[in-house]
Parts: sequence; structure tokens; C-alpha cells
Amino acid sequence: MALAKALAFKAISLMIVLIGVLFLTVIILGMTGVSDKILRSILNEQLRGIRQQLATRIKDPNELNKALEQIKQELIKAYGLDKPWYARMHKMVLRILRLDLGYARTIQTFSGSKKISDILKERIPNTILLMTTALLINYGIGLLIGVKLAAKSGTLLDRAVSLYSAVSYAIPTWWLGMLMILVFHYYLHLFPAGGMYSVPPPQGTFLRFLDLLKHVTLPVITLIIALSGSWIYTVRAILISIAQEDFVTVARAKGLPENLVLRRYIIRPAAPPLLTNIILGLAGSMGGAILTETVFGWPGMGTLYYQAIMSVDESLILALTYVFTLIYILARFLLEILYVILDPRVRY
Amino acid sequence: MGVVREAFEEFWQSGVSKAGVVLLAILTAISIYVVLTMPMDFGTRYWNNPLYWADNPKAVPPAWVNHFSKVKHTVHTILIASQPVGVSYKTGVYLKYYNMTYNYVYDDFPSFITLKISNVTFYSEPPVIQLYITRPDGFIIPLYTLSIPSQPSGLPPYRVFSKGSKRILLSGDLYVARALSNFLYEKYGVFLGTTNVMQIGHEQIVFGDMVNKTYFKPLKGKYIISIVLLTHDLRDSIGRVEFVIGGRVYGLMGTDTLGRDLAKGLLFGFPVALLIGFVTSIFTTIIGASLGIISGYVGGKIDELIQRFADIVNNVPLLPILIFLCFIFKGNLWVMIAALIAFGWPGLTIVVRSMVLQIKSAQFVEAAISLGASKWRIMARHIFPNVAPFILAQLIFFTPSAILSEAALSFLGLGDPRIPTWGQILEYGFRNQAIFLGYWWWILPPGILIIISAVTFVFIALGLEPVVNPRLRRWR
Amino acid sequence: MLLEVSNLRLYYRTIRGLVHAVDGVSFDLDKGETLGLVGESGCGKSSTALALMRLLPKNVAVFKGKIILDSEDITSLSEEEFRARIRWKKISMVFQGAMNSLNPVLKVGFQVAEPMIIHLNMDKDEALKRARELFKMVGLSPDFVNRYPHELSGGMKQRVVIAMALALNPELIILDEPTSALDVSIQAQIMNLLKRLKKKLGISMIFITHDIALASDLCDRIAVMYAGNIVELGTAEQVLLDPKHPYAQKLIASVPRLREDRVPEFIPGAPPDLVNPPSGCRFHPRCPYATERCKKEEPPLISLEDGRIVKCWLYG
Repeated sequence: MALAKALAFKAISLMIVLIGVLFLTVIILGMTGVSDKILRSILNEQLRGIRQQLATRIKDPNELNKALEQIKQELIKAYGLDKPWYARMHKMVLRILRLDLGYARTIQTFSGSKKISDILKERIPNTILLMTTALLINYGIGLLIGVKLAAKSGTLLDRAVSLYSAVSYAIPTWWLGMLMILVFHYYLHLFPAGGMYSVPPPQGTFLRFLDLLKHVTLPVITLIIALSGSWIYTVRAILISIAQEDFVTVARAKGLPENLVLRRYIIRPAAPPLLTNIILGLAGSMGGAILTETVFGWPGMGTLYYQAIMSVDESLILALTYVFTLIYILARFLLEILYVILDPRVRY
Repeated sequence: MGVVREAFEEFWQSGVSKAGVVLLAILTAISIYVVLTMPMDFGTRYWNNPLYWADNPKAVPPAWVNHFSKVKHTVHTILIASQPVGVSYKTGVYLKYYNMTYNYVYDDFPSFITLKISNVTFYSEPPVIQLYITRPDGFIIPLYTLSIPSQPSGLPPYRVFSKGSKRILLSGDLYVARALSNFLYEKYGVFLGTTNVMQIGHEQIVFGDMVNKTYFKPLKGKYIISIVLLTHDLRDSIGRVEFVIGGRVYGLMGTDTLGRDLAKGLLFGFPVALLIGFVTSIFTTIIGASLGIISGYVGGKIDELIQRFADIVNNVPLLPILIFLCFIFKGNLWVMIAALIAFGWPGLTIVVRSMVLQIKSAQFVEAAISLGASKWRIMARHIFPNVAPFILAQLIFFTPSAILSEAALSFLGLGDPRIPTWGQILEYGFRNQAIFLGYWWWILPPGILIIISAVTFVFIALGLEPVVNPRLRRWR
Repeated sequence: MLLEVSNLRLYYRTIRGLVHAVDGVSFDLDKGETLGLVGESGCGKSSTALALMRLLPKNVAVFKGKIILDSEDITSLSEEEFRARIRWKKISMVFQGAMNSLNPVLKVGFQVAEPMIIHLNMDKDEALKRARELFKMVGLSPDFVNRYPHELSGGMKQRVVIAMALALNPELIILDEPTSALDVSIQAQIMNLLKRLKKKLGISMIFITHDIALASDLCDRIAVMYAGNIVELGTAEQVLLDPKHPYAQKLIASVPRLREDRVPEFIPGAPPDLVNPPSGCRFHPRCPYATERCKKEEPPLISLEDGRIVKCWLYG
């Protein structure tokens, strides 16, 4: 029961964040007049479709225009474009909550759809593929090296890694990505510069997988280098502090084998604070992934962001802001559930 | 004072602190130099004004690569003459010579050649200006003739090209091509039409020696570039002639595809980065710390309200919101800084609050309360001094994240076009395929400068940590 | 004789220099006997315990001496043999501060059962069943096996830790300040529990405390430690009622008494620096009876007629 209550509390506070972001964006769009612009572009897109339909039935151009004008007026009313922005704010919020995100200006899906929800459906899995691959590898590497370093605290290697952590915090991920392309693509010709598959993609599942692997390598390495520094440092610091706890000495006194002590009495109790750090760093890691995508032209949300900015597409930016926040909050909530599983102290 | 001194000595012990302070001193010195020597509207007046950079070679590496390369690349050179070296008279016409000598010692050809004429003064008929180049092999190529358009109205002396100089891009000019075609026939007996000459490139023919009638190799030696003013009136003159030999390498940091001197843009980035870092971190810290102190000390409903709000703001994913705001308010640096502040304070508020709660229960505060000290006095005299070292460390720690955030947003094309930053230089490079064309001088330096400026503050923050922490631990 | 410790030395390396934490400690212990190890904090009592368990910190410089348990020299065992055969099976320990002795993310029942699973190859259910019995024995509800440490009070946690120490029926339990972190009323409960266990199970114990009164409550014999040495060792009665060593005298005089109209004394001077221990007798700078000899020569362990041992020139 208490468990459900704790999770419900988390869920509510995360929902407030989502709604808060939504309202903030909608209010800013309304106040700056951008929401009018977005609605008009949706309306025009719809009118174009209607025009094509009507054109098959009504042959007289005057008749056609008249009919269209009538429909247009109806639509303006329906969208609330005849009213000030705050009067239709709730409609806009509801529309976004239903993921009815409108149409993109120039970007389309492979099949040619300009519907933003279609575009996102195509892009999000790619982002999640890149992000989860990079983050999971990063967390794994950080744990391995952090554990090793914790045992060697104070050595030269340990201090070198601390310095690396400080510098890696200061490296912009996206710049590192550019550097990687310059070195490994331009000079060494080892990896493709960007994208997800070669053009044209190779035939056969296995070859396609290899091709994907080749394309994913550089962005993943970039992300890992940029993120691992502070993560290794965190793992090391947390493990060192736990290794000094009394219960670790007790475990040794109990005659438990050393690897069991490490696993069950150092790493396992470190899981909740480590997870807390992952949760705190989640937004930053996701941001890093978004920027890395842009550099490598990875066809995900990050590249979409860049394309939206370059094509000055307000609807798409709004949709991305909302969907990114939504994904972040879902990921956050999954981690919170994991936290509750890992840390008995919050369960009751 | 003793405490401060002691704290400083402790801080100064570690290597990272020293490195951080030295770096900060360098960054500050460069920034002061830039503020004193470069105009504040550098961005609009020069950086984003392509005309200003028109005489520069496009996308060439820094000049110092010649030290590391076997092939010596043509260094960008501007020859200037403003006084005639001699006058001669021939059949009713005076010839005024403006000569420039150029020692050509490179293994490749210039990227372009340009002639610039300014301030031509005449009294009666408009004069004619001719350009001759005397090559090391003794050949003289009459490269170009410029007739001054018919005289303007009014009384003499008449002046032309006085507002802006007349700029003639000799490379690719059809007239020059004809002259070169003649030259090739005369010297090598090779007949090449203007189209072929254009394909080869004027610079190659002017500064080259034809080998086997097939290709050109650089002809090293002394070139004399003469500008001749043909006139009927001895008082007529040219104010200034410039002959630009477009380099294959340029300056300290090379140029971008617009010919902009990257050294200048990078230099201007120093004060901007520090400004962004400091303004953001100072305001973030002030807001975060005061809300934290109020929240922790006043408690009750206000505490609850501040903490709930801080929690919500703290959980907002920063990047999409920043992109959204900067996109809607079209590349405005102040909006960007305001957004960074607006979403940056909660972390500090939450931590400071918990520290204040600990200090509040310390004996000396209870003693002050029982002595009847007012709330504000206790906050200012007892609580603030105890959290101040931590707040200072946070101030330092916020700085790099602001610099990095600005760079990231600039990279996404959301920078403020009025104020060039390192991130914007990188974005322009990225958009112009610099990484796929191997323009390393365009990509490496801005990134390295971003890292150095961020690392400066990370180092100082790391050095402050042991100084600040034991002071905190007392209350734990 | 269950345990014979002779000339045990344990030095640590620190930035300031070598710390002589345990410097030639010798004592023995019979089956079913309880020995109190009493002294100020920093006198080497806990280090002696850690040395017996061979739980040495990383910065150990010297670890010497002979420890014979059940007529076996356990100092000559390899690390792995020591872990598998001695730790918890023969010697278990209740650590200072029960609050932190339990892993916060494991159920307490499992933590009690764990040594049985590891050392006796019991399966988990069997071990947990035995853990429930142990819980009952230490006065906890058997259902508490399914709780996490944070769900228990300090006294309950201490009982869990004691149950854990009993899990493998060890021959010797070392109790390192088992009650110092607890409220006085809970302290009494735990002491009663220990007395009951001692009577019921007949286990040998080493009881480490700074509180000599508490030690006298439980122990058959008491060893008083000062600056890494045992300065007096005798029956509880002897040491408590008629201490011979000047330090032991001072220590006992410093204990407040309820029914006596006497101001508790304090011991003048500060505890010695274990990096540069005083020459000769380590207590001489604080000793009212110190002579020139005390400054120069370290007193030997002197056996008195009543069987006790004193390390003091007054008796030599």
C-alpha cells in the first residue's frame, strides 16, 4: 500500500512537471502570437485537402472558392482563431495532450506524411535506440571502472581518472562528435560520417545490422566519452564511502568470500544512491544524446530538432518540446519504480 | 580576515586550484584586452558583414602551418602604395608610376588577386589607370586598364572612389584573361583562349612558369606591380592603391568560408563567454541561495511553497525548454541567459535549505534567538556567513554549465547573431560542412576554448571543495 | 584453554608515523569464560579484537604475535583458510554501533542466515528457519526475519546482530562495545540478554568496553588496557575491588558510584600519543608513583600471588 502511495506521489509530481511545461509553452506561444501562426498553418493544410476533394465535385472556380471560403470561416470558428489566444488555450492544451500535434512545414516521413505525430513515430524509436545503447554501455563501463578505482583510491591512476572526469564534464558532447567525424571519418576513413544506414542500405538482416553497427559506433563512443567521466567519478566516490561502512567489515568478519562482500555488501547497497545520480543526470544525458544526434545526422528527435530550427517550424518545435518532456518523464518514472525496488527504505 | 586567509591557503595547496586560477587570470586578461581594443558592435559591424571580409581568402588554414609543411603555402599579402615613384611624359600624356614589389617564394599559387583603387583626384579629363606586372623572368604583362567614368558635375578638383575604394577582382576577369592569353602566346607560343585561361586560373599564369606547355609551376622571385596613371594634368593623382595577393594560409587562426578572420571571432568570444558564465551564475546563485535561506529559516507554508515549486522546476528537462524559448524569442542572448537562470536555481535552493535547517538548530543560533535577535539579523549575521562558502563554490560551479549551455544552443542555430560566440563559429562551420572538408582550424580552436573556459571553473570549484566541505561538516 | 594470545602487535602506518595500536598484548581464555577488555578509547581494545579476527585495515605495517585457538596456531593459517575455517565459525563478533552493522538493503533474517548458507552449505529455507529460532533466542519475534534494518529500533538491531553472532555456534564471541550506542534502559536489556546467553550456551566471550562497571557485571576476568598494553589482568572481583596498577586504580576511582559520598576522580594528563609512546612505562607521565626507573625501563608482566598479572614496577 505504502509502496503504491509513494509511486503515486512521484507520478503526480512528474505529471505536474509535464502539465507545467505544457502550459508554459502554450502561454508563451499565445502571448507571442506564434500560436495563431501554428493554427493558420494547420488550417491551410486542411483547406488544401478539402479543396482537392471539392474540386472533383464542383467544377466552377467561383463556386469552388465560395464553398471554400465558407468552410474556411467555419474552420476559423472551430479553431477559435476569431478569439484571443487565452480563450482557446484549453483547446490547444487538450489537443497536445491527445498528441494531435499538427503538421510540419517541410519535413516529412519516408512515406511522405507531414503529420507531426507520424514523423515522431518514425523518429522516436531511433532516438531511443541510440540513447539507451549509449547510456546502458556508459553505466556499465562506469560501474566496472568505478569499482576498480574505488579499490585503488589515491593511486596515480585514480587521480588521472579524477582529472579526466573534470575535463570530460567541460567537453561539449556535440563538439566531441565533430572531432570524432573529423578524425575517424575524414582522416582515417574508418567509420561513416553520419546517418543510420548506408544509402542504399545493404540487403539481408545481418548485413543491415552490421551496417547499423558501423553507423552507431561513433555517436555511441562520443556519448560515452562525454558522459563517462563524471559517472565514473560518482561511482567511485559512492563505492568508496560505502566500503567504509561498518556492515562491510561485518560481512568480512562473517567470513564471506571477498567477491561476495563486494557484490552484496558494497555494490548492492550502492545501487540506490547510484540510481539517484542516474535520475539526476537523466535530463542532461538525454540532452547530450539529442545534440550528438544532430552532429551525426542520426534520424531521431535530435536531428529533427535541428531541422525544425533550420526550417523555422514552430509546430514541430512545440511538439518536440512536449514529446521530449513526455519521454523524459516516462523514463524518470521507470527509474523511480526501479529505485523503489532497489531501496527498501523508501518502500514503507 | 584570518579565516579567509587560512581558507585561501588551503585552497591554494592543490594543483587544480592553481591551474584554475592561472587559467582564469589568462581568460580575464584576454577579455579585458578585447573589451579595450574591439568595438562592442563587432558582431553586427564586422563579423556578420561579408563585405568587410571580402578581401580575405575563403576557408584557408592559419599561416603557421607553413612551419610544419614541406610545401610552403602562399601567405596572404596586401601591397599598398600611396605615392608615385616617378613620372614620365610621352606625347602629351603624363605617366605617374605607383610601384610595389612583391617577393614570391611559395610552392603554390595565390587563391586570388585583387586590385583596389581609392581616392582618385583629377582636374580636367578623367584619367586612365593601367596595371602592369613585371615578372622575375623580365616579362611585363599589361594586366588591366581602368577608365575613370566621365567627369562628375561641379568644379574641379574631382574625386572618385573616395567613399569606398574601387575593387577589381582580377581573378576570373575577362579582360585580364585576354591579356594573359596574349602573354602566353608571346612567351611560350601557346595559344589558349580566354575560356582555357579562366579554367587554369589567372593566378597560375601570372605567378607561374609553364612547363612542357602543359602545366604551370610557381615562378619564384621578385615581381613588380606597377599602377600607371595616364593623365593630361600633372596634378592628378591616386590616393591609394592596394594589390591583394589572396593567401592559401591566413593569419593566426585561418579563415572561414566567408573569409572571416577566425582569430578575431575567437578573440571576441572570450569576454562573451565570461559574461554569459558570470551573469548567469551570479543571478542563479542569488536567487537560489536567498530562496533556500528563506525557505529553511522561515519554514511553514512559505517553505512548503518554495520547496514544491523548486521541486517542479528542478524536474523540468532543461534542453527542450531552452530550445523552445530561444527559438520563440529568436536568438536573443539575454533571453537565453534569463532562461538559464529561471531553470537553474532550484538545486541550490534545495541544498541551501537543508543546510540552513542544520545551522538553525545549532547552539549559537538558538542562543542568538534567546537573546532576542530579530529574524533578519539572525539570517544575515549567523546563517548567511555559514552557508556563504558553499554558495561561493556553487557560484563557481554554475559558471561552466552556463558557458556550455550557450555553446550548445548556439550550435543548434539559436545563438544571438549580434554577438559572435565560439558556439556560433562552430555552428557555422558545421552547417558549412567543415568537418567533411577537413577544415580542422575552424573546428578545433573554438571547441578547445570552450573546454578551457569551462575547465577553468571546474578546476577552481574542485579546489574549493575541500575548503568548503569541512566547514559544512561541522553542522552535520 | 580455548584461546592463548601472546605478544600480539599491530601497528598502523599513517601520515604522522607508525601508530603502535597493539603493542605486545598477551592473555588467555578458558572455555565458557568471559574476559573483559577495558580501557579508554584509543587504547587498542578494538584493534586487539580486529587482530583476533584478522580484519586488518589497509594501512597495517606490523602484525605479529601468536594466537592459539583450540591448540591450533591460527596466525599461521592462510588468508583463505582463516576466512573459511575461523571467521564466524569459531570466532564471531558483535561490532560497535549496531546501527551500521547491518546491510540496509538486505532483510535482517537473511543477514543472520547468510553465514549458515556460506559456511554450512545450508539451503536458504533451512537457514532462515534457524534464523527464526535465533531470533526467538535473543528475544525478537521470529517474524522480524522479513524486516529490513530501518524497520527496527536500535535495541532490536543489536539483538539481530547478537543473533547473527550466534548463528554458527562459535566457540568465542567478541563483543566490541555492544551497548555503547544504546539508551540506558535498552543497554540493561541487552546486558541481561548477554548474561542469559552466557549461562545458557556456555560460550566464551571477550567483552570490550570503556565502562569497567559494565564489564564487572558480565565478566569473569578483566584485563585493563592502556596505550596498547594490558596493564592489569585478574578476576573481575580482584580488579574491581582491589586494583593494583595505578592506572587501573585511577580508572576505577573515576567511576561514579550511586551509594557513595565520593567525588569521581579524573585521570590527570592526556592519553599518550601512540605514534611516539612514552619511554619506559607508558603510564609514567600521568602516574603519581612514577620513579626514574619507570621513565627508562618498560616494566615486565609481573604475576602476583593471587594469580593476577600487573605490568608495573611497584610490584617488581
